[in-house]
Amino acid sequence: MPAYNSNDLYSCLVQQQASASFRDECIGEESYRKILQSHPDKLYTPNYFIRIALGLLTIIAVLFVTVLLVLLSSTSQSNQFVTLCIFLGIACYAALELLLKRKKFYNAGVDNILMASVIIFITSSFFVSGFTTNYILISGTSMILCLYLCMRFADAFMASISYLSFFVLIFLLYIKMGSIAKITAPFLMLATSAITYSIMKNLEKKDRLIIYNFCIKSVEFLTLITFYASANYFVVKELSNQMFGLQLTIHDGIPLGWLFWILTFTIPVIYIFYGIKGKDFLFIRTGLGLIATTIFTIRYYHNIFPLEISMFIAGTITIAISCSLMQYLKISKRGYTSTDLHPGNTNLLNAEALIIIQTFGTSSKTENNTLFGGGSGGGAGASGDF
Amino acid sequence: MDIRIFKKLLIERLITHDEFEKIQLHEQEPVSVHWDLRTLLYLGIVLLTTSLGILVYKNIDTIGHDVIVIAIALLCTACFWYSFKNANGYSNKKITSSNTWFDYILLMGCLLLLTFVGYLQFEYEIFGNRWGLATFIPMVLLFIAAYYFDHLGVLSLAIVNLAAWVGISVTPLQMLKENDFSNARLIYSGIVLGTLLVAVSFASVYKNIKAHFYFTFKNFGCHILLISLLAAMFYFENYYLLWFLLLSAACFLFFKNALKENSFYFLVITILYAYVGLSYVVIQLLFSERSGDISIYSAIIYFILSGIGLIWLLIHYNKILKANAGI
Repeated sequence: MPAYNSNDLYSCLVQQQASASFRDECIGEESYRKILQSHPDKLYTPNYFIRIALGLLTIIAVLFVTVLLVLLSSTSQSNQFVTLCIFLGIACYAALELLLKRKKFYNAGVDNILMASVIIFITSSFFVSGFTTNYILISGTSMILCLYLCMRFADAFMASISYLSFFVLIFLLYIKMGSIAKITAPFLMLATSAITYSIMKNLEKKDRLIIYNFCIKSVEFLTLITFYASANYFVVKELSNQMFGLQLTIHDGIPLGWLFWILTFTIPVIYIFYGIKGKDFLFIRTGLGLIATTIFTIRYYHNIFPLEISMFIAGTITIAISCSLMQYLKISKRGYTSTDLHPGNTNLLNAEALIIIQTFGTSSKTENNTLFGGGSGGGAGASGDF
Repeated sequence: MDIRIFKKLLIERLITHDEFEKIQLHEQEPVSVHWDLRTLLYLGIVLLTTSLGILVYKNIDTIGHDVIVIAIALLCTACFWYSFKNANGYSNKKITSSNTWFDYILLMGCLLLLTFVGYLQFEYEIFGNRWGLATFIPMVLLFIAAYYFDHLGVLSLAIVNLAAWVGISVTPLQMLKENDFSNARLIYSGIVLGTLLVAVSFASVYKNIKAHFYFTFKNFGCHILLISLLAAMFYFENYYLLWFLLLSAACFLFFKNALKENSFYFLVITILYAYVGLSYVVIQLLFSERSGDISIYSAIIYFILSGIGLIWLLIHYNKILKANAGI
């Protein structure tokens, strides 16, 4: 199914892991070089800055191709516009496939933008034509399309959009069922998130899907967010206000309001405790972010303190907690430490590790030369191709 | 690290049993929450200082300006006193601070210094109408602090202050009041300042005085110079081709330098600046005579072709830099 040779994707992953373990001094230089040789990275992923520039230039190219085609076809009717959108979507997809086959682009900026353009063109064709069940159709199409693109190109962004479309689709379909469905919708969405999470956890363990690891992780992160959002008091109240035209004021309650308040409070706390126990940073960091969201939710409905006082309190508490934890974890306790295990930037260190190995490689080559060739100016030909 | 991959590597005999055990042990080692706690601390400081700022602002009538100025001065002095006490002394080489708090406290002291001078000028107008002096004094102090304590953040602050001082000094007060920033003197001084900063960056390496400041100086200098040249192109409409030549020359030099230093960052930004300039020239040429359908279509086709062309160019140079990265 993947457009890439799955060996290539696997090799790419192996190289990343190997340089991390080499950096942490778990494997020696000899093994590291052997791994790099036996799992050559054939995919084209350029430097980070080059990727951004390539992405920008792709946007320019796609944008002006669109403008050119719109001008040339001089479309005024929506039918023609839909055809044009679909044509452009297919053209982008064809370009994407071609680039992968010829150049093996992987996260090179160009392929990411082309993938996004496919989705934008196809979904915008729906916005133009006046379907009555517009949103259901749009979310359904983008779910299937993104899932396909994600499976084919192992792209985490597509995986995320696919999940979000799926989530919206379930919601839209369910609330069509009537008034009871409208009240119970939050619970269905909670269940949807939880079930998706457990499915993702199972998929993560499958060796066959190891190349999709990052996609799966991204969806897991989103399920945590949607699980919280489904039960957040603000989201539930304001969304039902909007969707069902209830015209509630800020002081009106909603059915089962107390339950949603409890969930708004407890979910982030549970995330953090669960994360600390299982050493899962995804849960800890998401939980910390969601605590801030909870505070904003409370402040929206109950103005206990003026803004600056709440900020003062929150700031003091945050500083106190972080400082005391830094002191407490100076000597590692319960599997955590506050010392920096990798001082400096990890990406930079990766690059450094690669460079080190490359210079090591050439030096050992020259050693061989002097051994067998009788010392013909060893070290002069320090070419980087390893 | 994913233990499954290393299991496979072990089976393929690419790593030894010892190494595999080391990896397993490493997985059980305590995990570092260093950056999480740092982020949390930073967030707390931002919240606290912002709230204090609002509190002071709201209660300024009861507190009074004198008290606030004195408080800022005391805090600032305390920060610098701490910094001097913990500093390792001046050296031309890079100094690494042993203390984690040192960098933060020094930065806070410098920010408070700026606030202090700004406050004095706004409230008491101690420099009168000489706004240049109000930016010149903190700038000098910041440069001294940056070099003495070896702090890149303070150096950036100082350079920004330098730019502000140059900008204010060359701009007549009248123009500042009218918010007219597109005047010729500002553009010229930008070009001079940018060139100067780039020169300083090379000099610091050449003379080996704080050679690691090289990137910060060059980064600011490059952006200021190229933006000023672009602004000159847009502003002096009649001579834009001349300015375009200057821009191309500057970009070419930066480009050569980026290739020499294997710097992806400078390679990308010089290409993008040059592209903006070139596109402006092309558009000007196409639409200068008469703007008909042909000009519009040619412009669109120019953007499509140039976009694809630059993509190809960047991919090409990425390969060259990558091949040289090991040397």
